[in-house]
Amino acid sequence: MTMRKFNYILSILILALCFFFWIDAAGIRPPAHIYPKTVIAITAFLAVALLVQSIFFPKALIQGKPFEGTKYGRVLTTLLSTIVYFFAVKTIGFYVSSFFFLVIVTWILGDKSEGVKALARLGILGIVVVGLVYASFKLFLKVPTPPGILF
Amino acid sequence: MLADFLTGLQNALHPLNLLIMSLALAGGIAIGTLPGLTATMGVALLVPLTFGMDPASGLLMLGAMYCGAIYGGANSAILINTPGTPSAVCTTFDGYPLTKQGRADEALFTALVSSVIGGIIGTIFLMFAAQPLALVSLKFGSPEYFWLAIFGLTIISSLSEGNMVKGLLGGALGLLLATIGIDPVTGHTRFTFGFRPLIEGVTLIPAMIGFFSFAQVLSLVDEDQKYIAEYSPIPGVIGKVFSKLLKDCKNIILRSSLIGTFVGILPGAGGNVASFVAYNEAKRWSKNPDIYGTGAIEGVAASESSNNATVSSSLIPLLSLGIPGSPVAAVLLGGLLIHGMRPGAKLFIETGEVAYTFIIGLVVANLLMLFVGYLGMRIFAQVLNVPSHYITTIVIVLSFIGSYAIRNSLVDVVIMMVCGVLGYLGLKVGIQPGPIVLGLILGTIAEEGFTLSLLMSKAQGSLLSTFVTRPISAFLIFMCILSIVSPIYVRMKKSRKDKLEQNV
Amino acid sequence: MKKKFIVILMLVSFILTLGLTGCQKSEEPKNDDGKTEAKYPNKDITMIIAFSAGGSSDVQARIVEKYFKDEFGVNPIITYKTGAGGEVGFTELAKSNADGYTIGGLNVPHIVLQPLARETEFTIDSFAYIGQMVNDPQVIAVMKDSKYNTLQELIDDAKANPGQITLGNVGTFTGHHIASLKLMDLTGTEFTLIPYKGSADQIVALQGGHVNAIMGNLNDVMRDVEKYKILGITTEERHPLAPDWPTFKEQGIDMTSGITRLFAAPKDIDPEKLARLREGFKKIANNPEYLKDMEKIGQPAEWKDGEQVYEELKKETETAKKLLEKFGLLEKK
Repeated sequence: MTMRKFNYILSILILALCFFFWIDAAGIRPPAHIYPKTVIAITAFLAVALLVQSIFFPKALIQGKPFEGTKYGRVLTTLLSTIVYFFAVKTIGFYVSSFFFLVIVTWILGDKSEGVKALARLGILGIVVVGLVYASFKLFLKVPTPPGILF
Repeated sequence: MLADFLTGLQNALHPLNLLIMSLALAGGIAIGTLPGLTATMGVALLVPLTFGMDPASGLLMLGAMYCGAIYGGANSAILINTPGTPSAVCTTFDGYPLTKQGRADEALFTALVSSVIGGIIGTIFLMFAAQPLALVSLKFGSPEYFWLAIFGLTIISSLSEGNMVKGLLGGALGLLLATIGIDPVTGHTRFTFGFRPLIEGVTLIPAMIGFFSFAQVLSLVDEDQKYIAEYSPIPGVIGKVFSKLLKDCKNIILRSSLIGTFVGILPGAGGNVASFVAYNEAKRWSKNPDIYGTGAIEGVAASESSNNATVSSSLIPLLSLGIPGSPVAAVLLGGLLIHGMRPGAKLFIETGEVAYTFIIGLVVANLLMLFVGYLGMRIFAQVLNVPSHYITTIVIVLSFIGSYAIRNSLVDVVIMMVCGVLGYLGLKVGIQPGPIVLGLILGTIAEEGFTLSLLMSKAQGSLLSTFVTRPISAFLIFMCILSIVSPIYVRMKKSRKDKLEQNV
Repeated sequence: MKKKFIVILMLVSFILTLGLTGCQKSEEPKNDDGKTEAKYPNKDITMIIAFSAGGSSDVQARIVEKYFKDEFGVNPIITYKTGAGGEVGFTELAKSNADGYTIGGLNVPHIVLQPLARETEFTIDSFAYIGQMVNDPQVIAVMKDSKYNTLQELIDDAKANPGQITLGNVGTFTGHHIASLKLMDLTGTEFTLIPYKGSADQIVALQGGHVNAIMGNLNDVMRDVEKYKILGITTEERHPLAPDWPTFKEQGIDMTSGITRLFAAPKDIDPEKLARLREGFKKIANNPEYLKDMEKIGQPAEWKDGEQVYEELKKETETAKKLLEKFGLLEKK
């Protein structure tokens, strides 16, 4: 897909967003409604401007295919594992989840040719990083970490 | 006064105090470097510690922590494109490209030196011009804040590379995000679409961590390079940076520090606004503005000198009027009160000795930062020797804890993740995170300024006299117009020149 | 490479530890008082503060923290849950485990007004009240060079020019807001209320001449009191911290108002534990050392028992509801 097509999608998505915001803005008591409505109007105007620009002045755009060469596999893996990590943090606990996240995801993303040796190294890394985070956040800064069943 | 000044000097140079300040600086730099841990948090954590200390030492510790934390944000901004504090957002624009070019050392050292100079200039104003500057800050009412925010937003036009419409669109989206939550004037809940936790709004720091750190992580994964950038320490980097700064950046650092000092005194605006304004001014007055954003030492210098200048100047309203003008100042106020010091006009008369110790201590802390920061920088730079898949996961873990720690809320972690994905997709289709975050920063200032001015104008019976004819407003409006017109003028001139060259 | 990497990690950890030890609290909690397990409390108590570190609520909680250990034998762990004018923290407390190990600070009238203004996940019935620690009354302040010398002059001017006199507030649906509404209701005047984000912005607006007068807190105007004229204070009798200030009552306006700071636990707490907390907080609140500290930070201490607090809250809810209805601020829920 070209940048031009993406611009169409982008403009339409933003216009839809503006539409929902505009409806919600109806309930705001004056004079507080002026500012948000103005912002929505400006956003919508810019989205239309992008649409017009993409249709009539394609030269002004940076041409090219924005998602060409994207390594979807890697990006999606990272994203999905982060989401899993989030739920793990929420239920199991921050430190345990972080340890497994560090070890597993780093291993997946890394060069797998090293095999088991790499995993052992990652285990050490996981312990060091989690330990460091624990020492600095929990012990010294007394910043609470997300709670969970386990540690 | 002279006696107080001299005692202050003596106190500030006491070996024990020097040690305390160095430790607090190191802690501050670490806190600043980690995204999500802010200067406010660092200082707040130290306040209870000062209960048992001599007031002067306690305050020196707090001041050093503050300086260190604001500077520390630059390290992660430069090395992994992740501003550690909102003030360091502009540092990423040139800092990270420099790292990519293998010039991380130069960028880091520039950031350090500029921060120190900015910090010292700000402190000089705190020492000698606190009263008059405090009076200036009082002149800023809601209309002035509104125009200041609008002026800030005009910066987007020069930040947007390539497609101007997309840059503006990014800024508008940032403003829109900032309106989510309870509206500041009527207390109405808006744009939460039935999702209760959003009532807290989209907080700046989790959103910033998302748009920068998490989006950056996804980009790194996508790039699939072994290391973020080539890195080998450059011999003689200190001399190189100093001569470059002396030759090309004297004016930039001076101007940016003055901008930082000025913006810092305004309650409601801080290092984040200052660095955007300073960066923009540096670019505007530059002979070749095109180098900004591609790895210009000047850009790093502008951003870092201005945000550290705000450190001292943000204390001006607190120390001379008793008004805590920034979150950190509010925390410091608590610390001062507990030590029996009453900030305000009489602070320097009643407790002059401690007050001068504190101010002189800020200068000393900045000088110490040169050494502590240099050590830290050597260590932080090693990040570039760590394979990037390690960085990815570690940054994700830190982003989690950083966004959580701001308000102890998992909602903020979700906001961080959503903003991260949006930021990554945005980068792909040409919407940069800079304008979005700028919109988020300025959105709340603009809205409050606008609506409160509207209420004021209702009482006064005239829109014109509230919004336009107040002298500072008029000046800011003039600046806005200048800011919008000048890039267009420059573009036109350039395209004419290009045409001429083509014709030849 | 591998070795180098580990060395680097160690170095980083060393520096982090070095830097952070600087911030570490020197005294660690010690558990040497050999209490039996059945005794409450036998572990640290989490204290939820709904406003950011360094704010007035936090500073007050920090003072309580100083005396907490001596009274209860355990430490309070202050946890900030901030946002939405305190609502986030109040909600958190209301939903917390009622095992006695989570308590929190509440602010009145915030907890009264927020459930009225919008849908919230708590009401005043969601808490078991330990007691009130602070009562920070409101004052009407103008600058020293203002043309108003008494409250009556200000009110007369507001009557003559309805809507043209500005009165600086902090936020909407807050103590300042409700006090201003009360004043307008009782005197039949119309001020234009300007809701600033925080008390610092409000004070700036007054000192910079952007508003005619403010409805502020005692605590905030005490800091630079020479700069202002205090036209009235919303207490029953003249305030011990500032005996020169006339009350609203003696100027013929029958109202009292204030922002109070309470401590409370979630509703379902075991009554015995609640009794222990009430006893302990009462002792802290009457400790002369504590009172001295409170005076230092400029917050007017005033202890009230939990039961009494709850009764008053119920009454306050009724009055606030009527008032907001009158001003048309309750249109939808």
